[in-house]
Amino acid sequence: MGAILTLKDIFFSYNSRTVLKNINMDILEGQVIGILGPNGSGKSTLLKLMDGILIPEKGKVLLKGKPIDKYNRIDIAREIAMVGQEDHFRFPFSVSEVVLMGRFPYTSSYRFENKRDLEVAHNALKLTNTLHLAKRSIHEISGGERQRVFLARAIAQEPSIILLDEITSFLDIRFKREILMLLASLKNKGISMVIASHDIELMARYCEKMVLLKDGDIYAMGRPDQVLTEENISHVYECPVHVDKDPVDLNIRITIK
Amino acid sequence: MRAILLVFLSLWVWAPCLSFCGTDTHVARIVSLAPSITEIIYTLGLGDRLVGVTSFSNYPAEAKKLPKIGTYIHLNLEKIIQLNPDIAIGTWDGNRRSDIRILKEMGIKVYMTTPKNIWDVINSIQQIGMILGIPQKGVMVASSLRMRIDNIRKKVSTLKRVRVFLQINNRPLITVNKDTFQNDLMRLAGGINIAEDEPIRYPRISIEEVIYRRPEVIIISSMEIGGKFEEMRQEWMKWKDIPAVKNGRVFLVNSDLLDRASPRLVEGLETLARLIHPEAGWR
Amino acid sequence: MIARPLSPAKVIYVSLGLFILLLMVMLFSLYKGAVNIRLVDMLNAILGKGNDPGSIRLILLKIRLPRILLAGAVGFILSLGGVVFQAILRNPLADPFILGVSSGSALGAITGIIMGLSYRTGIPTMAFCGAIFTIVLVIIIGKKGKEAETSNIILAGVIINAFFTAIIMFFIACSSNEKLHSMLSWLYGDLSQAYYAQFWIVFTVTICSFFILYLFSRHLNIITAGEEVALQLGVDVEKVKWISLIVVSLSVGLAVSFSGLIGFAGLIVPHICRMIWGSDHRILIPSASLGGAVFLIAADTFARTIIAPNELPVGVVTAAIGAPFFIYLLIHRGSRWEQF
Repeated sequence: MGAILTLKDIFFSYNSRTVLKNINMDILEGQVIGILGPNGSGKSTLLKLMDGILIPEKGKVLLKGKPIDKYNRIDIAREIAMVGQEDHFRFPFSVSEVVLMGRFPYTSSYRFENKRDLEVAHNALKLTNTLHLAKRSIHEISGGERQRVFLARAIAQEPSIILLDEITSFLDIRFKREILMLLASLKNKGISMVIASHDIELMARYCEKMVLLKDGDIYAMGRPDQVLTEENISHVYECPVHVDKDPVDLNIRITIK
Repeated sequence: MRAILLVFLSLWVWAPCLSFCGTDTHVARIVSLAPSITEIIYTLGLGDRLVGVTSFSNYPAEAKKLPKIGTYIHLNLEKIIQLNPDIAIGTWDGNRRSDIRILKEMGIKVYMTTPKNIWDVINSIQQIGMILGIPQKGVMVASSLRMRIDNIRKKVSTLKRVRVFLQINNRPLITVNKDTFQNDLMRLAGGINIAEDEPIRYPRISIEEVIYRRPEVIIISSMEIGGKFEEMRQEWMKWKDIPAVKNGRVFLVNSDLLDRASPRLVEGLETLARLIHPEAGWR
Repeated sequence: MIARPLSPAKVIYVSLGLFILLLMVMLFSLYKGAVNIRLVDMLNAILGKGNDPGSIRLILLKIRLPRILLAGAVGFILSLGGVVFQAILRNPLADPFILGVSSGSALGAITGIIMGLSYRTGIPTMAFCGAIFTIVLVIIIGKKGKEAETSNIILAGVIINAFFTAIIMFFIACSSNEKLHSMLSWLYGDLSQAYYAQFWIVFTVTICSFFILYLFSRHLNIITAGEEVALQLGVDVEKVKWISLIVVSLSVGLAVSFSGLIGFAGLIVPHICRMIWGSDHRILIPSASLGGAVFLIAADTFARTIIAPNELPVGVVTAAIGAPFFIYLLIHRGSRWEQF
């Protein structure tokens, strides 16, 4: 089982400032990876590089063994979907229209949506518990609902990988939990996920692999209990913490000293 | 000698009408494409044959009652066609080429004048008289106009030229250069236009320039009689350095008499001459 | 199961309905004019029956019909351009002139008027050259490497508009009366010189642009969500932007080189269509285009009949309708403007 996505010796700078250096990692099928790090450590940039939106200065991004810049955008979109924070719809579309946009990589220009498209979109809406919002305008729903709609759109792309950039920031605990449970169920379908987040504890619960970034470098990579040590976190976030396990469910618990 | 010259001139003037010669001279329905042409047609006594005029054909008063065919810069071609004229007479000093071309394409006979100075205007009267079938009347009107001009020229020829400033617009202050009817009239009336050598036909001029050039007479050419004129005269009164203002020689003349290519230019000339050289002894 | 948000049937019905409306407006405009024509006479003239008192046939076929057709074609492309630009620039206030095409072609036309060129060929050619020149200039200034960065492009367009407008004002200030009138009537839109060749040229270019841009309907839908999102979903954003910008600017530049500048048509009609049928470009593009044709024909007919035999410039009529419309929009939408 080869890696779906490989990053090899990636260097990326922006305006002569080095944002990422020496990045090497693999994403395997069905793997859930958490990307952690303080602000400015390059998390969003890393995700954009994975999607081929940004081109690295040095190094290669390989999608299913082939360099990603050899793909055209539609083919990439069939494999990789991204849910980011910024989605400013200038003009009103309904929730179902938004989710159906996820079917774009599978439809040619003159064709209207067919039965398969509608089915996939329908299931995506059901999975994200947004089916009841189908006819509402994207502008009329709450931030949390909107996040789930965007996730539904990503699911409708039927990708092998979903990249998620800080999607839990706007959600209250109930929705955070829902989303993460949703992600767990997706994992069962064999979809890999890369989640960039600040929420260390939550990540620790659901990710099987963690990548800790500091100043553009991979500071640590491995299983959560390997990566999330007191030294690592205190050093990277420059803030003293205490790490232990929650006695009830044995999840990693982090307390600020 | 001069009479022979005049007769010779009037014959020579007929040349442009050659293309219209030999055609049926009874022209029943005429459309005038410019206010100046309207005046000319009435002067020739053929006002009753006019079936359509442009919006600003305001002289003589009867013309105002005629059907309107748009403005001379924007003719309403539909209306002209509907009126079914035998001939449309216009002037390149105003009518758009495209409008005229379309009229010709519609099969309407069109005659155009190109009056560049007052002599052209008088010649055009003669030409129009000819194509409308009354050549003798045309010559008569033209000759009498030429004589009136000549009389004035003689009267002022011995007098010293007076510096004149002609204002055709108030805000901004606009005058005329040598390429205009107004300038022709000022010269013939024994005056000299202080803005004669300006490069643009209707140049904007600053008050300072006017003060500097010390005109002895100021003519305000305008349609606005009464209150507005008083206002403008009061504005000039501020500049007592100007000889014209000092001597109270600021006058209003109806602009139609000075800028319209019609017989009334001669009336405008006579008015100007009286204002510029009152000492010449007018009847 | 969720329903299809837009079916092909709906697109066809709406388009057909608007097309029929267009034909009706055209017929009505043929009937209306400075010269009153009885319906009976008009039908006889069209069908070629009976004698022709008052040259009705001439009036209808040589003066009114070419003008109506040209108004329709110009309105069509102005609205189409408005829709596409609003999507690409993600700005509900974008009109097809935003890249400076208006001032560029105006400058070309005014230069042509000063040079004394003919209205039939010389001036439209100069206007079109002006438009092309401006498009190239805006692209060169607004480009960042191979990318068409939208905010740069808008800025470049605004700057060039301002600069060319200053030059135009300079020319106007120095011009003589006769030329002044020609310049002003071009700047406000003047369809009175229309003839069939003009219509066919604009029509051909417009129809080609329509089909090219319709191909991008779904791309445009997604681009309105944001360029990065569009990239993620598989849209080749650069390609769509470049092609759209160039196709719209060229066809709009061509149309206004014949008609002069007519504002608001590319602004109002897209908005109204969006309010009625939604933002999906698969229906917005055909409805706004046909709506634009109807709108301009109606505005032009109004302009040439309301003070007959004199005429209002058609740009004045569209502005008189457009400005209050936008005030109304502002009051009703207010702070929700960015969400339209």
